[in-house]
Amino acid sequence: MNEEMERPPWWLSRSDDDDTTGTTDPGSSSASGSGGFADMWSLLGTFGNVAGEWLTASGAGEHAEHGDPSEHPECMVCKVLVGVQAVAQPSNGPATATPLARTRWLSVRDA
Amino acid sequence: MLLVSSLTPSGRPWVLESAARTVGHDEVVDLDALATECDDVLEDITAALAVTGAQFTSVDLIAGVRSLREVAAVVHAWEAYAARERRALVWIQGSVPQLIADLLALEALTDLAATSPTATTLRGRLAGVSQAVRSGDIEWLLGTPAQADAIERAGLEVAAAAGTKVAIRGVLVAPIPRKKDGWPKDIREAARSAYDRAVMDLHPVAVARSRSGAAPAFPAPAVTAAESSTMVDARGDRVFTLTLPGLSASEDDSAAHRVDVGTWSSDPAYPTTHVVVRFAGHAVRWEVDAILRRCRTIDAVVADDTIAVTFIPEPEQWPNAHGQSEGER
Repeated sequence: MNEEMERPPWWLSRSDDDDTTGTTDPGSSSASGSGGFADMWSLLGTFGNVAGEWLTASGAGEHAEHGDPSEHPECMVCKVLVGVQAVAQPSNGPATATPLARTRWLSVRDA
Repeated sequence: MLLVSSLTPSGRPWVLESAARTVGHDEVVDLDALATECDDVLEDITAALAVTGAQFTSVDLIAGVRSLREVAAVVHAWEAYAARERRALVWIQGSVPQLIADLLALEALTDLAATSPTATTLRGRLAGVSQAVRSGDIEWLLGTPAQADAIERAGLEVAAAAGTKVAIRGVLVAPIPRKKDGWPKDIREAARSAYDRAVMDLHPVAVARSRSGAAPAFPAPAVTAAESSTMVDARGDRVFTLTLPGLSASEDDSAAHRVDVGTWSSDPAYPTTHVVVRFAGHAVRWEVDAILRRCRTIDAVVADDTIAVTFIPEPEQWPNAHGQSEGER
């Protein structure tokens, strides 16, 4: 009985020739919702910072001085950053004056 | 093009066998392999997102984002294989609904920079793929083990895919453990129960399981599983309903598994253009009927796989007193 208890669940078994990932838990596989534009948002934020630093160093850009992207709809970098967030990552934040509206969440009742 | 994925690595051979029988050949294209051949798409994405002068910095960063690489690879795959006589089988290791949602979000994002020639180029390429998704030229086949947690996850993936209007060819359930292999009765019964639940919960999506060491084909055309409608209730309010098969698959009532419903507008002229459903890390954005654009929402109800959102006319959008009745004509 103990051996049975210690045996991995049958559905978590892996084929012998599969060396694609070390993940066998469906809840934590690469299919989880942790990737996608959530990561893109984070990395685009990095991109914005790096671009900002680059532009600061060159003395050519004004985006580097933009702290909150939502306050600078005229800036292409800010516009893209806000757009990615609004389109791909609905948030609970308040509506802003940016070109894209935020999602307005409703009170949900269970039937 | 048939996109093929599995919730677990062990399901890969089964679902690929099923996919091969479905399309009539077994040549599989691995999306990860294509990710190294899609520099032209990544360059378009980079050009559309980057600020002038920073492209050389951003290209490496953007190309490093897994989602964008996969979106670029799907675009490349569609452009490379769509015209071929044999239907391409494309193996995708990650979540297909998430990938398609990212593709559609990126397409929407390019609208922000629509005046830019580079964004126009990218938008055209993305539109080709999204059109193929909506027309059913790109379908999806999912593999899952017959285990309760996995079936729950499969249901949520199906619901998310239905929300992106991906045509779902079917869900293949890997072999159920057998008595002659020494599996205990309770595990065998739980697996059968999980399979039966998948068949019920995911209707009208086809669900089949492997038997006798062979994975079945899915000969029936793929279905667009989501259904939406708008009706007028007894009080005269308009009720929008959206059914996503599998949405209620999760029996976990924690906040992480809660279904959130909201509205969003892509057009500043209207209060609402889309209903947004957020669940289990997925966000479905569903465009509502034109008449609902001129209304605002008052509440939402979730019942099993269906969400219902009540709309009332937004007075500012109906300039005359009889606007509501005019809108109904």
